Formats: sequence, structure tokens, C-alpha cells
Amino acid sequence: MSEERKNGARESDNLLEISDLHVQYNTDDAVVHALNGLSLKVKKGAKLGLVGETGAGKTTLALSVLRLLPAGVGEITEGSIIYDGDDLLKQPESFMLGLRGEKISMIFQDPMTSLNPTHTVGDQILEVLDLHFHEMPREEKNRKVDDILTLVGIPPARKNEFPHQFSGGMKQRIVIAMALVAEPELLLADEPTTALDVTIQAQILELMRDLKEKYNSAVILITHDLGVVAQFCDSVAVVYGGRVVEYGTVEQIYAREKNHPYTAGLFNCIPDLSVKAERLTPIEGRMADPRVVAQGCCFAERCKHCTEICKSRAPSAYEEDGHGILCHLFTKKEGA
Amino acid sequence: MAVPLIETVNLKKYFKTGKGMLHAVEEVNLKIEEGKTLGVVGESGCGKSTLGRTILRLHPATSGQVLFNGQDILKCNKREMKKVKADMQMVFQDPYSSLDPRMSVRGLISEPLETCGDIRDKKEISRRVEEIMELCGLPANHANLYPHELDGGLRQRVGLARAMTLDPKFIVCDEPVSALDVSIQAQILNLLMDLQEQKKLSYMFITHDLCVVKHISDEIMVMYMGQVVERAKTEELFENPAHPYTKALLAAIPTIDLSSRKKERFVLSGEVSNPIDPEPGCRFAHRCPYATDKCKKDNAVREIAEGHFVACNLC
Amino acid sequence: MFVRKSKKSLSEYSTGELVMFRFRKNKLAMFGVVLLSIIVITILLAPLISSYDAVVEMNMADRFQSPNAKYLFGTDEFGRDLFARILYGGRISMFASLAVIGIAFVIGAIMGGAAGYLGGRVDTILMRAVDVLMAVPSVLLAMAIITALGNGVWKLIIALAVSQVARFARTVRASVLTLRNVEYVEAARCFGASSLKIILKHILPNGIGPIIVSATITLGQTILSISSMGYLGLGVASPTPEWGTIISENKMNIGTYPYLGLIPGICICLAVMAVNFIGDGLRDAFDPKTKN
Repeated sequence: MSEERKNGARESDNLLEISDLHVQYNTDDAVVHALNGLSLKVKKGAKLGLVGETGAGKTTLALSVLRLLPAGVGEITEGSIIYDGDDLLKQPESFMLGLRGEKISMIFQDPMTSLNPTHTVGDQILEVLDLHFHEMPREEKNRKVDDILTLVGIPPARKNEFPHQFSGGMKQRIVIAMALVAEPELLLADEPTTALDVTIQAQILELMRDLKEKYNSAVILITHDLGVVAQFCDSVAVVYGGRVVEYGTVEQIYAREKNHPYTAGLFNCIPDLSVKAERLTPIEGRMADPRVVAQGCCFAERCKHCTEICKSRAPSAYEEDGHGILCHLFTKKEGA
Repeated sequence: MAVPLIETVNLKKYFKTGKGMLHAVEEVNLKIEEGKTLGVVGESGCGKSTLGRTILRLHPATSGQVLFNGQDILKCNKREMKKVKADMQMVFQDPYSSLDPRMSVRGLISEPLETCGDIRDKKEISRRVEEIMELCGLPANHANLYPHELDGGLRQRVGLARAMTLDPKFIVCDEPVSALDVSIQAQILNLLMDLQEQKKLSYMFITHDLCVVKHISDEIMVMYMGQVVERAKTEELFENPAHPYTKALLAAIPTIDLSSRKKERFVLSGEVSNPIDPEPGCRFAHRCPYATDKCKKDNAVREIAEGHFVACNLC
Repeated sequence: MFVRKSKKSLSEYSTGELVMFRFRKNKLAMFGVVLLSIIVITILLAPLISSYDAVVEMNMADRFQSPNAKYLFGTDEFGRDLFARILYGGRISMFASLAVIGIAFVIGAIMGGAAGYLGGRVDTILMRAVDVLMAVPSVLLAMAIITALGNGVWKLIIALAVSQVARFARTVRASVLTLRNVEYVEAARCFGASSLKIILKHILPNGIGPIIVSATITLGQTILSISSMGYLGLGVASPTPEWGTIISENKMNIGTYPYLGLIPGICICLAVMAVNFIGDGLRDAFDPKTKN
């Protein structure tokens, strides 16, 4: 399967290229601007951590890539999402149906609600294969189901059991099995371990690491936990107010020498085992109102270093060695 | 040696279920001094929330004692209990379901006073509400707002204010920051610590997050499936964790320290199960990499260093 | 930290306001409100429109007149003004239904509230009583009670109320069970609030939604039940007008003079329909998952 894809692939090193994406939700009383010009690049086989708090737009981004925004309410108004050379926003629904589950898979946050309680787990994994590989013979499909269950650490003998007979951690393993059985190129994992105990989280992260090695899928791990990103990812994108405010490798960002004020703020207010601080330094204020598009920088209201230009003009990215920061503090240094 | 504010002696709480007897809290002994914080840490099903509620008599205890200033409150009658209740309050985890959506901020904060406080005068109640709001960082003009108009952080402040109204001495904080965004967590944690300093409050801080508990606790107690597996002063626990479960818990925490990425991390296998009609001995044995046959009989608590208690025969 | 005085966003509406907002958007429900209002207002204004004499006054010369200018709905076999009879009959149909719902609700709420909050033996005993009540079809139960008590509007109301208590008890109990363990109730117990105070202050106000919906739907059924009883000659007796009774007393003549049956029948239909639309609208409005 992988061979065919390599032959058909275009030249670029990037599997996914999102440019200037604007997404809004048209609700009854106001327009909620979820993404305001978000740009992101994901290389093949990369492990990208998408970090942000509630309302930053991370889940919206994942749903936009798969074009699964709520019908009639979610709207992509501008920008492009180029996957393997094709602009997904220009493709028909039939193209997307072929893509979802086979080339791009998604794992949602809550394993309790991701599984259909009335179907056996084996059937749910089989469904993915039935949808995408019509010509594959039955025995081969069943074998694949057994293989993937063993791989995620669940005895294949249990495939005729129902979701409620499994614990939270095991349900998440089943969800991961469903996402990976078709050997996708890109895996979107939306807070896959947030609802789990910390020891189970460690197991799941280790499992995801092993599986990623085996299938060489690219993974976008969406989370608010900087620790999880440090343990699993190679590159990071920090999202705030519907934009990527900082991106780079884990080493560049976690070195904490040069950071966007929001990223720096996040590091300061997280109680971490390695940090000796007595008092935490919170980020003042609250998340920006997504109904109002900020004139200047989206973080201006809460930023300690805010100046006049920050309030009136949106900053452009300052990039050095692949480490990008969207902040006037840094673009000024360039002498622009 | 001062009498500790809160002390439990062999506290047990069992629930009768359809499948058998659930041993939610098993023989817990703890002490909390005035002005100090005990962090209670564990994963789901360990009994930490049940412990907190049993101490406040929200659940009737199965056996054992809960001593408040030396007095066993489990034996108190209704009248005596009324006096003690004012001194022991609780802050809940979910800022969305812990506030009655039909009551204004003012109503929520004044309710404890109206229910059981000694103050009857409306003006006095109003004044007290303003005082508490200021103490907890709530702007005065929020008094007439309703919970759905506030965000998670503000709601949690209201929950805290409600707990502070009766001027308690001891507050059980049940995962008070787990449902909040990281940047707001820090605000609330700082507030809790400020209040503790000002009012000499004692906290039982229940959480699954070891990083959070490290900042706020003087002493930490680790629980697993209803049993206390380790108890020590905060620094001692982090520097010299003794129990295999504590070690596994610490190893599982994803830290932002990049140097640990290269190291082989010990990942604990297996799952937590429900302690229904459990077998005697250590309940961690079936997951423990060091378990021996002796563990099924002996998991008595030993003091391995001053103030450092471990329930493991291998330590 | 900002405070909005004017409500600019849906997320700032309280539950009650949100429900009203969603309800107002439902065209069928609003139609129901308008229809019901017309019916109720007309009935309330009955004494202004025509005096009660017209209801009982027999005028043999004018019997069996089809609807015309003088008699808006025509006359029956005794020459009585059908319009007047419908107007006054409507008062009984509508207000008796409200009384039934009111009484059934109060008794049901007490039973359901106690059963749900206190649990244990109280719950078991009360719910078994409810089971017994529900085992008998409500119409038959009402008939049995009236036969025992005799005719009369208030006896009819009591009989029907008893038959509806079971449903309310169950609805209230379900609401209470859901809310009994919610955290703000635990918080109230923390500072020593009594069970009664918790039920009255926290549980009932928050659980009222499904109860209102249930009450509205039952209202429609009750109007029908009263009319059915009337038709069967139970409860309300001639010459007291009531929509069902009117149909019943004219049943011999409906073949020849269909308006005598059609008109009261249509009134019953419209009233029940209006109430049902409102009930459906409320149910949808209370459900946050309904698509706007």
C-alpha cells in the first residue's frame, strides 16, 4: 500500500500544509471566529504537538482538515489545506470519504463516547476495513483485526465483547486500533490521554510511540499538557486565539531562551516536578472573546510586554532556523 | 505537641453493591495540623474523594474515628454536629455542577449564613458577603451575576467563597483545579495558599496531579484502591519515594524536562480494578514488579524514616 | 474581567431565558399559544357575550336551527343557544382540567419528591402505590371513583386527579433522583441544610422542566377525559353544559343535524391541539440538543 502512495506522491517534503486558514461558527446570535489565519506545516512521519488551552481552536483545526465541521454552522471562509499535493477544500465529498479513516485518521478525547455501545469491538474495527478495502477477502480482514488488537495490547479473543466490558484505558486502545488499522499517513489525536489516569496515560503514550514507529504515520497530538508534548513530540505549534503564535522543534521551544510571551507564560504557570518555584506565576486576564476579531495581536490584552503597535497591528512571523514566533518583540529586533 | 486539628483513626468506608462489598476506604490513619495542608494523591478508584466526604460526614463512616480538635465527630448528635459543620467545609471539583444555576453569586455565598449561621440581620449578611467576595478576588459588581455568566475560574472562586463564609478552620478541596485551564489553575492555587496564610486554614487537598500537590502540600498521602500506600512530608516523598506505586506514579508523569526523554522510563502495566471484596494484603501486588507471596499477607504500615510511612514489607 | 449588562450572546442567557427563546422560535408552539389564548379569553369573557340564561332557556319555537345570524352556532332540540352552551361549557372543560392537573401535581410532587429524596423504604412503599394506580387504566379508574362518589363537577375533578397522580409522582421522582446527587446539593448538605430545604430550594426549581412538559401534555389528555366522561354521562350532568355532555345529549340528532356534534367536537379538538403544540414546544425548548 505504501509503495503505491510513494509513487503517486508529489514532490514536497510536507505531508500537510495549512495556509492562512480562517474558520468561523455561525451561531444564532453571533459569529464565533475560531481560526484567524492559522498556518501550519507537517512533514511526513513527523510528531507534532499542537498546544493550547480551551477555545484556542485546536479541535476546530482537526475537524477542518477532515472537513467534519458541524454542517450549516461551521464555515471555512479563507485559506487552503494542502494534503499530499491536493487542496482538500476544493475536493468533492467523495474524495474526503476515501481520505477519512484510510489516509487521515482521528482519535477523539473521550473514549467512553467514541465507541458504539451496541456493536462489538471487533465489528467496529472491521467496519473501517469494510469501508475502505472492498476487494480485501474476509479472512484477511479478520486477520488484520486480530493483528491490530494484539498490537495495541488487547487479546484478540476479546473481539466479540462490547465496549462497556472494557476499562477506559482499554477503550482508548481500541479507538487507537480503529484509527490505525488502515495504516493512515496522518493521525490526528485530540487530547487522547486527558481523560485517563496518569499511569494509563504513560502506557497509551508508549503505545502510540511504538505504533508510530511501525507505521511511520505522521501524528498531530493535540493537547494542553506541555509535559505530554515533551515526552512524545519532535515539533511543537502553540495555538492562541485561532492562530499559531509559535512553532519549532521541541528543543528550540523548551530551551526557553526565546519564546512567545504566551508560551513563556504557560511554562511559568505550570507546576512541574523539575521546577523548584514556591509560587506559580499565572497569566493575567482571560482568553480573548472569539466573537471579536482582534485588531492587533490576539494576545495583546494579557501580555506583559504589550506596546502600542501590538494593539493596532497583527504581528508577522519572525523565523530563525525553523523556529517561528508571531510577536512584535522579535520582528522589531530584525530591524524591520 | 499540639493536638492536630484533624485526625482519623482506622477510618473505614465500605459500600454495599450488587456485586459485593466495595472497600472504598480501608483503615486510614492521618493527622493534619492547624494551618497545614495534607495532599491526598491517587488515581481513579483509590478512594480519595470518598475519604474526604467521609471525614465531613457526607457519607456515614463504616467504622473508625474522625477527631476534630480531639472530639470524635462521628459520635456527635445533630446539635453538636451543627457547631462543627461550620468549621469543616468543602470545595468541589466541577465548577459547573457545584453551583446552583438558579442562584446569583450573592445568593450562593450568603446561603450558608442564612441556613446555619448565627447572623440574622440582612445588612450584616450583606456586609459579610462583600467581605468574602473581596477576600476571594471576586469583583463587587459580580454579586448579581449567575453562574452561567461566569467562566470556570470565577465560578471556582465563588465555590471557595461559599466555603469561606462560615469562617471554617478546615477545608476539603476535592480536585479544585482539575477542571480549569492551566493559566487559571495557577491563579486559584495562589489564592488558596494566600487564604491559608491569612486565616491559618488547614486543607485536605485531593488530586490526581502530583505536580499540583507538590506546590501546595506540607505532607502527602498516596492512596491505591482504598489503601494508604505511603505518607511523608512533601520533599521527602519526592526525593525518596519508597513504595513501588509511588515510584511508578512519579515515573509516569510527563515532565517538561527534556533530558528525561532519552532515559528508559518504567511504565506500569495492568489496570486498576474495583476493590470489591478484595483479598487480604497489599492490593497493589498484582501490578507490582517486586511482589512476592508475602505481600498477600503483610502490608502493614512501617515508619522507615521520621514521619515517612510506607505500607510495604519490602521497604 | 468584564461584565455585560445587555445580553449580547446566547451563552449569557439563563436556562429559563434560553428555553423561552427556543420556544418562541417554534412556529407550531407559538400558534398553539395564540389558539389557546383565543379560546381562554373567549371563555373568560362569556358573561359579557351572553348571559347564563341563554344556556338553559328553552325556546321550543327556535329548535334545531342551523348556525345563523341570531344563533351563531344554531340551537339544539330544546331551542337552547348552542353558542352560549359552548361558551359556558368551555369554562368547565378548561378550568376543570386545570384543577385536575393542579391537584394531581401537588399530590404527585409530594409523593415523588419524598420517594426520590428519601429513598429506601419510603421510596419502595410510595412507588408500589404508584404501580397499583398505574395498573388500572386511568379512564376506568376515574369512572369507578365517580360511580362511587356520584355526579358533580368537583367529584369529577377529584376522580380524574387521582388517576393522574401516578404519572406526576413518577416524573417528579425521576427529576429528584437525577438532582439528588448533584454537587450543589452536596454543598448544601455540607453546611447543614435540611432535606426539606434542599428539596424546595435546590431540587424542585432545577427539576421543574420535565415536570412542566408532562403537565402540559396531561392537560390535553384531561380535557379529552372530561369530555369523554361527559359523553358517558358521568361527572357533569345535564343541563350543565360541557363540551362532551353536549355531544352526548345530542347524539340522537347528530345524524340529521351534524352541527350539533361537529361544533363541540371541533372545539375539543382545537383546545387539545393547542395544548399539545405548546407541550411539544416546551419539551423541545427544554432539550438543549434540539437544533435551532
